[in-house]
Amino acid sequence: MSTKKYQFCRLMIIFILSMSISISITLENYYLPLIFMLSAFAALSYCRQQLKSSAVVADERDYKMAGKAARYAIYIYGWLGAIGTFVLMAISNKEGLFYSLSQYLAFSVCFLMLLNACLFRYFIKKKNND
Amino acid sequence: MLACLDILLKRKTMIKNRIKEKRNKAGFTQEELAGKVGVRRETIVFLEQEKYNPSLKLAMDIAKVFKVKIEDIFYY
Repeated sequence: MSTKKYQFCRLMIIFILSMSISISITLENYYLPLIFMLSAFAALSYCRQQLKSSAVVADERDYKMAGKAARYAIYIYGWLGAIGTFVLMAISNKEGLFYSLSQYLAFSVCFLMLLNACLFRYFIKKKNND
Repeated sequence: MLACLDILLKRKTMIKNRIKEKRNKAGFTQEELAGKVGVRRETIVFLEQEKYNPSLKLAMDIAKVFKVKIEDIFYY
């Protein structure tokens, strides 16, 4: 299997998986996503095995770009989450939907920042980082 | 917010190179060179267009393929 074909197959599997999970959740069946996820994992592993061993799927540039995208995602989610929390708290009463949503946003932003800080500390101290 | 602005406004110094010249001289295609140094063809395209600064390992691998010193290919 060529790299292009592998990338196309991977995209298709992810597309089908996301569709299946959405449909399962709409049908209120929470076991189906697990089955779909395992099937997708098996399909991806099979495709990876079919790929020529010399083919390069991702290189240092991809990892660099992935890191940059993740950093921007954290910044954007952090800022939007923080602003969203304050706005929702300001317009909500103590027990409404907006209040629950603001709590969810506040905790998720804090968790993300904490996780980011912990991972940063871990990787900066790790001697043999790739 | 300042960190975001800092990233957006930061201008990166791009390292110049003679990869295209050396590659043509050696008679390699971009695909072949990419295979030899273990990267995707697109990375070689970006390197040749001087839009990407390679890691030290990649720079050394490229120099090794052309059997020259690293400074003969990459310069400031």
